[in-house]
Amino acid sequence: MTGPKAEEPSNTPNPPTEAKLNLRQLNPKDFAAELDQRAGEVEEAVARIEAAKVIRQDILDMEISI
Amino acid sequence: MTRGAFQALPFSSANFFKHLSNTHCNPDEVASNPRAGYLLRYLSTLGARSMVVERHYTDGDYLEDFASYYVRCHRPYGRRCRRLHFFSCDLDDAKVLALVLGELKADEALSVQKSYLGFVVVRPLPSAVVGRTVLKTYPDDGGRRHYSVLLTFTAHLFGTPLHIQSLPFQEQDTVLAACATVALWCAFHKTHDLFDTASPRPAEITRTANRVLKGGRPIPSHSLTIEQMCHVVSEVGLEPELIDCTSSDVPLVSLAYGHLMMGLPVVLGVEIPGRGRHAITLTGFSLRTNRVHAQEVPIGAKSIPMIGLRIDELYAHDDQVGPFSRLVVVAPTATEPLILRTQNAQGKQFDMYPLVMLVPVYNKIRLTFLDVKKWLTRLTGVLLGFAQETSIEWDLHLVTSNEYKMGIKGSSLSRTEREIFLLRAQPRFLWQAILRIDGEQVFELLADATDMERSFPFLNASAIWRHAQFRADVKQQLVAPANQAALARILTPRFLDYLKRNI
Repeated sequence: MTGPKAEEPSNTPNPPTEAKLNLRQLNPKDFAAELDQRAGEVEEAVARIEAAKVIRQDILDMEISI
Repeated sequence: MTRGAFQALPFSSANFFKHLSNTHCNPDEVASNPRAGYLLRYLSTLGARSMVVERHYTDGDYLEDFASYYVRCHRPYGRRCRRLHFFSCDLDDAKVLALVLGELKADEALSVQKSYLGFVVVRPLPSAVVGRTVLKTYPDDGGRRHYSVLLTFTAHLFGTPLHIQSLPFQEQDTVLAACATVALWCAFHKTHDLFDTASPRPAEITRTANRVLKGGRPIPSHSLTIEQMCHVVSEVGLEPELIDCTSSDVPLVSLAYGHLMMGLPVVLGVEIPGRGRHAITLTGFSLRTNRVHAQEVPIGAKSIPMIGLRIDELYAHDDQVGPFSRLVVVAPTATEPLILRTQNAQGKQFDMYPLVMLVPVYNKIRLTFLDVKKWLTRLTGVLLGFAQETSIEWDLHLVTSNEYKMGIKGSSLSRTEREIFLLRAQPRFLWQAILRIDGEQVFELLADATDMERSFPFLNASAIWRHAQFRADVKQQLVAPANQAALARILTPRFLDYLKRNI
């Protein structure tokens, strides 16, 4: 994989690329069936991100001492 | 007499420890100070060949510590410091004097200035001798090392300006500053540079923190609570963005990267087994070409694949170790969370377990990394219909609209696209989400970081499709009637509509 380089911040858009990607080719029916299968998993992941945003009081009370 | 104002010496351990010492702390004691040992190794690696001892230096940070505490001790501590400057060229007294007097040829003077490696302020204290320290970073090593939390610093050696890019560091004295104070002090130098907010000195940070009562005496200061640290961030005019690192679903390295990329310092609270809780300031990261971790969150937890999977090291100002110290990222497993592995000056390895991340952000940065990640999680649910999870990567980071526009200006986007982005008013802060598949940048989204969590964050016409084949394949599925119900369920109807309008 390639990524941002030190001299080229990632906010510098790269030239359009036509490198061949190995993308899956599904017909819409199979695509929809896969989406249906993943829907529950995605909802759970989103709910867990939401839960991770809560800051507990014991975190605020943590003493940083060394 | 003025000739005694400085001394040029070869850089060696003996000279270094001798000139870090004082009447309260002899060179042998200095040599056993882990920070001094780290600095010696660090400067040697940078190629230091000479040092210039500036004998009488008034340091603002130390002066406030002195006025707040040391002046009232029975033992007479000095009010002035010494400052050691380091160069990668050979220097003697005559050459330094010629530089200061403007008698060196221009190219020779430039060469000396270019060889400047930075300075260490030496405090006239027992043990905690390493005061404000501003040193050059390691080279970028082929572009993998990114030190993003730097500012341009100018030291004046008797009127001769010497410039470097760095972030100030100092060791804690455990009187006016414990590690939490020092971590905030380092961070505030950069936020001052970014947002023109206050950059208080250590004594002031500790005093401000202790307006939140926690019991026990505030000075001598041995610790701060996270709540006290947040209070200090608020008092300097910033918002404390707090993230619980013990939550298994947070991709910590990607999250740190998301803020570091804009130059925001990240204060990290960690647990060191057998020792206690410690605070450090993250200043950069090492980004590899290929993935170095299989996962960023423990097995069983969930996260979309993000750029943190390519980050093998973080860099931190750690007042127990030194400036720009290296933290090796050890990926989480089924039983262990993510670990940051480092080593002290004696080469002894120890592990840090992240507990909490505190990012001092400008008040207009309201939308968080996790808010945007929720939307990217939905989109990834669709993208898995096109590519394997191992080939997908999200690069999510904060950027100012001005920096973004500067990047657009020289890009190969069409004239129309450039006009749209450059001439339209944009929010001051953006979350830029870049999608890569097999290393190719194929798609990009911009979210308004100044908006609110409940709103739809992506800017109109901000979806940039960078790969024709990918765009065509996605469009085919996005508009297929058979997919509409399932797409709306995963993406939400609004996000689906947005993507269809912007493809």
